[in-house]
Amino acid sequence: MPLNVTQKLIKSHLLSGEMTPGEEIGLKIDQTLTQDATGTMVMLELEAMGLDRAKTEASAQYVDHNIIQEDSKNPDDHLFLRSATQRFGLYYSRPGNGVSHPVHMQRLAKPGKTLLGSDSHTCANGCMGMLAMGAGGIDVAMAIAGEPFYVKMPKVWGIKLTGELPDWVSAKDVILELLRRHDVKGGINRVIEYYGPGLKQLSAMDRHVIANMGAELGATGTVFPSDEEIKRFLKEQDREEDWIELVADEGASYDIDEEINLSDLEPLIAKPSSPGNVVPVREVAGEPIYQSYIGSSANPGYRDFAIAAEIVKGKQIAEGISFDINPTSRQMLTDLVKESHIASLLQAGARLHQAGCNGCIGMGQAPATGRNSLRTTPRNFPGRSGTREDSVFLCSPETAAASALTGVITDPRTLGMKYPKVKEPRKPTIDVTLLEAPPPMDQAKTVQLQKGPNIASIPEMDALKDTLEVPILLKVGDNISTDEILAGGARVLPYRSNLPEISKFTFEIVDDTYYTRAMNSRDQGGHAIVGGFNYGQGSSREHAALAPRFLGLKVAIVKDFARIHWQNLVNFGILPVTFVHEEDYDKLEQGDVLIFSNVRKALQLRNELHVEVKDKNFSFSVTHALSERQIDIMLKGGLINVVKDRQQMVNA
Amino acid sequence: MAVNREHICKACDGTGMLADDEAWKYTCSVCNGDGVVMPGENTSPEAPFSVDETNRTLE
Repeated sequence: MPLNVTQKLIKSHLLSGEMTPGEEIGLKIDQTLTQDATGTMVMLELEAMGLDRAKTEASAQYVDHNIIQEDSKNPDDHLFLRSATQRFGLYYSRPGNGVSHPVHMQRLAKPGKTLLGSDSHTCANGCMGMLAMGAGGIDVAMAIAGEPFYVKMPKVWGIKLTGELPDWVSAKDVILELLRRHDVKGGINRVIEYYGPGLKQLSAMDRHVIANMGAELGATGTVFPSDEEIKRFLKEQDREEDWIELVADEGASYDIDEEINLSDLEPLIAKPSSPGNVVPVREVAGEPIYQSYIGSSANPGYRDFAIAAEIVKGKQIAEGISFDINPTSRQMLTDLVKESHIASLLQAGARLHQAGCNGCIGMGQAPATGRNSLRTTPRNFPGRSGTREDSVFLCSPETAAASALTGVITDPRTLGMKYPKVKEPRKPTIDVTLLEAPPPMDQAKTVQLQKGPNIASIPEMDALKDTLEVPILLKVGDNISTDEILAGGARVLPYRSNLPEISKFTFEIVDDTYYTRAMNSRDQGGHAIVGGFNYGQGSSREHAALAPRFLGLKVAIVKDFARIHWQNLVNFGILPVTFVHEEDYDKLEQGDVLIFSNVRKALQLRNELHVEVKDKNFSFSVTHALSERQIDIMLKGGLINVVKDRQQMVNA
Repeated sequence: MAVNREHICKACDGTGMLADDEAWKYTCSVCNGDGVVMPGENTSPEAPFSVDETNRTLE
């Protein structure tokens, strides 16, 4: 049967399951990437797993998020990450080297491979003919340890590109067009695969722009073929030997078909406050702006900055405008300097920032309250810029540069100038010095992890006991979010690598006595939590499961779970069960002691478990939705223990 | 006007902002961004969050 590129990538990495949309499949992961905001916990998980050396072909740790060093926490994290990469055999991309996605593309990405990253926009490297997906930290730790990645087999959404981009229209407008058509949920459970004659006009970095924002459609991944353009890009990076051709077979089909005629596109813009709120720029032209911001992993290419430089060259930006340039890799920044584009931008009034994520994630360059900010970044959800009442528009570099000149949102076609042609440098810079390669195994084994005072190892976690006698320490209502279980914010997140410290914030918002009561019950067998509908909705943060586990949470009994938090509970060995009869929720009170007997066998044999309430003439039934694989994880006390056991068997 | 620290939202420490694991910032879902939680006020989000397969928020 003829296969499309996505199917080829999945088929060649399939370890379990059938390639039927919706079915769970296990995939071999060839490469991983982690960034510093998520990476410290991944490294602590590797330590807890007892991993000797990364089992992937290439894994890289990037420091691109927390690069402002206002106290010792971030630099301590950098030292820890560097020592961990050396110990476990990973690449280490130093602060200032740039954003993970474009740097990975330049230095490590290979057509035909799989990439798993603990960052939403990992899908950007799908531009290289890879299956690249974002995932949670523990999933990436597992992949580094050589374990499969489990995901639902996606539908493949074929987008045929025809025609040619008109002047003043670029790759960003292509993905904005798809967001205009399908909004931010349009890609869920799908891999978007681009093909067709229109591809010829799109450079590898243009494809990166498009693939990156597949995340905004909610897609599992975005895939481009590996063709002559990818060969050219790799040759330019002095990596031509890494190229293989990977294109769809003649007659290959897609689960969903769609076409974009590039010739029909015009400059587009996503209005506040959703990437799916897309209209033509001309519809909002004239709106005053405070800021115009170029850069981020959504528009990381040389041309994205060079085109802006050519547009503003010899001119001055409008009065009162903040024109922010956020270079995305040191390698590319070096070329922009060499070709005098940075000089053009600075002379026009731009502000130059260090290569990294910066304002894209709300770390610096927050806009003034309520004022319009134009950004080439991928997201404009409320507050993302770092200003609570922000008003962020997403657009192309052409629109951002034109608007910087006029001080109002401007359709770049109305500037009255000829569309500049940007030439790539004849011999682009290749900068490998800030991406440190892992040392050889014998040397790696001698490396000690450098843990500053704010970094603590994950404690050992015990296997599931056969009898649980646990008090209900907390009873909560519906829609409890992970923000309420464990908030993420300036006060809490700095302790993300310090489980004993971060656990002090657990459920603080709901009940600030929980931490003390939990600590008291921890060594007496732990405790249970009872909740309503949609328990654990919101952010994926694994700390919302890890911290309660640290405090002795053994079982969560709720009406139903938010799916990802349920997954996190399983991963960290907290038994997630739901009421067979929802009215039993009302009969339970905080302080009731619950007795689960023969839990291990009961879990393996059936879905329902019987629970007695001590000293009350009452019992009730709960059920679980664990697969066989997940039951094994639960019995062993979590994923870390599963891998630890395997590592010990291998090393025995 | 002096801020009454007793009612400052504990999730965001009164900033009205939270951040996720990837450091993406967003309006605090506990106090809805105003930085204050008054006694008796429901701290649960008014509407369920929407997340995708890899749990990225889709507000």
